[in-house]
Amino acid sequence: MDQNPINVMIDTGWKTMETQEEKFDCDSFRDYYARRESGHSISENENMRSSEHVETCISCSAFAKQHETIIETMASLPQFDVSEKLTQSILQSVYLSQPKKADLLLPIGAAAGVVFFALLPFDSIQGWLSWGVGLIGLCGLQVLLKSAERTESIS
Amino acid sequence: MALLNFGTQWAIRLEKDFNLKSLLVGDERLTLRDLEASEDQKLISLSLAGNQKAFEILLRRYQKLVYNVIFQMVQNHEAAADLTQETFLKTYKGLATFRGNAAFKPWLLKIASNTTLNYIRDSRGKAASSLEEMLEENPHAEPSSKERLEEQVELHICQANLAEAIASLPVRQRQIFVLRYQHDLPYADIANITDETESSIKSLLFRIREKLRKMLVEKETLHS
Ligand SMILES: [Zn+2]
Repeated sequence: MDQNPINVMIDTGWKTMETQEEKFDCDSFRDYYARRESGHSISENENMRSSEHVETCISCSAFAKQHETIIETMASLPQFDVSEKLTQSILQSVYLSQPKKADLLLPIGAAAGVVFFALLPFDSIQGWLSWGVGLIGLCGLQVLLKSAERTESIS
Repeated sequence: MALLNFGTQWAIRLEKDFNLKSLLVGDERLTLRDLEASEDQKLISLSLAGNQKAFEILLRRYQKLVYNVIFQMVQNHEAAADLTQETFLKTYKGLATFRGNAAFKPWLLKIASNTTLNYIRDSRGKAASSLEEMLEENPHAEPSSKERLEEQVELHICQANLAEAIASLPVRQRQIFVLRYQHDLPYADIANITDETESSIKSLLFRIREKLRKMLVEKETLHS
C-alpha cells in the first residue's frame, strides 16, 4: 500500500471526483446552481451533468423556474412617477442653495451709482429728473425679472 | 394688475430667450433639445458653470430612478419625496467634487443610498448592519436541501405578492435586490454603491432570491 501522503491525497481526490461523477443528485444540482448564480467558475462537465439532471428532475426544474420567475416579475414591477410638484420643489431648493451673482452685484452697482450721482454737476433739474426716470425704469425691469423667475419656478 | 401680468409674461419670454441664447459651450451653441440629448458629463460641466437648465435635465433624467430606489428602501412616499429632494440637493452641492472620469449614475445612487440609510438609522435609532450579518440573522436565507415537496409548486407570482415579500426584507437587502433586478444595474456599480465586493454582491443576490423564493412558495402552498 502506498503510504506517500501526496499519493494518498491524489488517490483520495480521484475517489471524490469519481463519486461526484457517479452521483449528480438534487443536492448536487442545488449546490451547482448556487455556485453558478454566485459567480463561481463552473466546469463544462458540471454544466452538462446539471442540464441532464434538470431535464429529468421535476423538483430541480421547478426550483430553477421559480428563480427565473422572481427575476422576470421583479423586472416587470411598476415604478412610481415623480410628480411635477416634487421636481419643482427640488429645483427651487437647488436654486435657493446657490449664491447668486446678482446678489453680489447689486450692492456694488448701487455704490457705483451713488458715487456717479455725487460727482454729477447740478446743471439743471430736468437733467436730474431724466436720470431719475432711467433709474426707476431699471428698477422696474429688475422687479419684473424677479417676478418672472418666481412664476416660472412655481408653475 | 393686467399691466403687471403682461410685464411678467414678457419678462419670462425675455428670460427664456436669454437662457437659450446663453447656452454657448466653448465654440458650440446648444439648443434645449441638444442639451436634453447631452451626456451626463457635459450637463455636469454646464451645471458647474451655473447653468440651471443643465441641472434640471440631469434631475429629470434620474429623479424617477432615485425616487423608486429610495421608496423601496423606506416604503413610504412622503419620506421618499423628502429624501429624493435631499439627495439632489447634496448632489448639486457636491458636483464640484465629482470626479470627471467616473459614472454619474452610481455616484448619485450612492448619495441616495447614504442619505436614506442615515435617515433610517436616525428614525429607528438602529444602525444598519452589514449585509452578511443580516443574512446570518435570517438563517432561512440559506439554501436548504430539505422540504423539496413545496419546490414542485409552480410559482404564479403576482406583482403584489413579490412587492410584499420584498418589503419584508431588511433594508440593504431590498436595496441591492432592487438595484439589480428592477433597475438592471451592473454588479460593479452595486458593489460601489453599497461598499461591498462584486463577488459578495453576486452571492448575496442569490441568497436573497432564494429567501424570497421560499417565502413565495410557502405563500403559494398555503393558498393552494
Ligand atoms: Zn433534482
